[in-house]
Amino acid sequence: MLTEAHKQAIRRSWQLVEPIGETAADLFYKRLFELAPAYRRLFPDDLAPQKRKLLAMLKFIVRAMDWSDDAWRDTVDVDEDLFLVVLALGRRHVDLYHVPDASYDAVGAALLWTLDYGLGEAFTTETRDAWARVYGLLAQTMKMGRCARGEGSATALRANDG
Amino acid sequence: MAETKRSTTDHTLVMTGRLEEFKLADVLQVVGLSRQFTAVELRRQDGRVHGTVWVKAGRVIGARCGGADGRDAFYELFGPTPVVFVVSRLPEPNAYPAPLGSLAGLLMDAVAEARQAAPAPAPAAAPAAPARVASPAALASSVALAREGPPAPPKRPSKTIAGVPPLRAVPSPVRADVSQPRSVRGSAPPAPAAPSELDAEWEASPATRPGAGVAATGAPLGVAVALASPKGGVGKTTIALNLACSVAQRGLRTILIDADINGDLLSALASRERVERGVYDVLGTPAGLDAVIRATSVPRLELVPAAGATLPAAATARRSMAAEWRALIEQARQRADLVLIDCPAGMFDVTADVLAACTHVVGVLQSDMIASRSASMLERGLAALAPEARPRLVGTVVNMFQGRSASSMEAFHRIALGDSGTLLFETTIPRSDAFTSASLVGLPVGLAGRGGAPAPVAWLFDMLATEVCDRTGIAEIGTPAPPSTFLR
Repeated sequence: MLTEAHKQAIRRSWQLVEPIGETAADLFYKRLFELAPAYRRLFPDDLAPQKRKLLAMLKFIVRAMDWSDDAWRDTVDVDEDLFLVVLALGRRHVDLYHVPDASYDAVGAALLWTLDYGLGEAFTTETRDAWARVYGLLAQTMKMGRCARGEGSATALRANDG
Repeated sequence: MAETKRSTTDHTLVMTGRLEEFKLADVLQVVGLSRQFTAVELRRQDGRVHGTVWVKAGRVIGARCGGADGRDAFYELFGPTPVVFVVSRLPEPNAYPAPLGSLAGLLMDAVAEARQAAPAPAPAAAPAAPARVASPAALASSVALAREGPPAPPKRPSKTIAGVPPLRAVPSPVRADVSQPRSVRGSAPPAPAAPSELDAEWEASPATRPGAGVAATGAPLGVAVALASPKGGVGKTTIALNLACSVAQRGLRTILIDADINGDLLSALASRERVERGVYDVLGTPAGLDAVIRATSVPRLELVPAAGATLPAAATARRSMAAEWRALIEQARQRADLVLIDCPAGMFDVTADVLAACTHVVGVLQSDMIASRSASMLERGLAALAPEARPRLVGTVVNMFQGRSASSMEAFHRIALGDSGTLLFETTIPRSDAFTSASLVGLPVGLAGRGGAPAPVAWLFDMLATEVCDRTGIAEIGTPAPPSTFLR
């Protein structure tokens, strides 16, 4: 589960990544295809739109961290709900893109490597732990996407798939 | 979009699946990400409802199972009966009742319930191979800390050490073949090392040091080993946690104390919110160790966190608390064969106080260039301590080694060829994604493997545990003598 410290670490580190977002996206896909060359064929030749989607998704995830535990009673729109959005994303990855569960390990490793490379000293143990924890939960949510029904498979992220 | 707007007034199905594919704890954890009012209903094979838990924004609003409500019902949900989960979003009520608790905390508690309900494991017939802890239930793979507070002090088994060996009996450390670390080279026979100046002073120091193996009451004392490093971020906590598990699994009663007020140990175990008090709350108070020591899911391993949510006064004290640390660590040594203390980064301040209370110290260095340049501070920091307050340097372990990185290899060689290389352990810990995976579930790496099989890197901690036990003179505990012949 995510603690306030995890959420803070995510938000703080994202402030450093966002200005170099394009470079981070380049690094991410470069590393991903180093780790798993076979996944290159799952993506179009032109990766530019994919990189924009990745950054939009990361931005959405970070924004979803921006609430205090004390505000747990507050209502949030389903289109802004991290679980519902990621679950639906996972459903589309299964139904449309036929992404295997095993790919989430490589994606997670590429993400952490990118953050490590991009943040340098700022990628502390705590920050790494926070990102690893968030990614682990989101990857599990996406894997459960194949169980999504009704709203769980229909919720749309305005910024499209990552 | 239209559907989602309409659904705010209806029960809306979100997902459904089988628990043989996704464990209930995993389902609840991802549902806990949602800020919607959500019901997770569990159904039996015949389609009947087994129970329901209501969750919102990481809080458990309620639970019902059979005739039970509340926390007991929550724990009941984890039995073997249900086979299907159904997750639905519910309309927001006008007002929420007081939650049962945080989802994270209740999941931890459910693990402990499962462990308490599980039959005790049969004693191992052959203790030579380190026994991995088997999960008593599928759920139990998620968490390490047990639910209840400190257990009754265990009786000292007759087969365990009859006191720490006299200080002069501690075997001399060895110089390793430094061409490559053990994690990449296999086992090379060690060559004897020349004792360092610190070793010589240590041998000659008076019997008043904390290493004297008998308490004032006459009870035998365990060994106290501090893990220290001149630089932060070298993975001390990871080493401490996993080494403690391996030592306990050898059959030694082990206590792991977090002396770093940042409390990274609880972060590693994803258990910060579960602890109210820690060692800094009881330092120098009559409450003592019993008030803060916690059982873990690893038999024979107990843990003392640094602090709870509130920063204790002792954490910010500028004065030396060496006497307080000494008293507390001696309490720990009275109930354990090995006490491991995870020190803060740096060799001074709190670290110096802890070192003065310990019989031994293990240095932790990172295999990178910056860390290699600060390696000499380990021995310089020890040398700055008065001889009677100086623990014996058992050895230095290199962490985060990357065999494919030229700079990491270079850093390793610099460490090996420097002062710290004299005492280098044969075992070197590589950088591995297994640690990240373990941190995801808040477990030591040896307990976080898939399908019950630990990651290969976990076995390195068993080897490191062997080396630490050898060098501190407690290797014979739980380790049978090797046979004189192999073929029978």
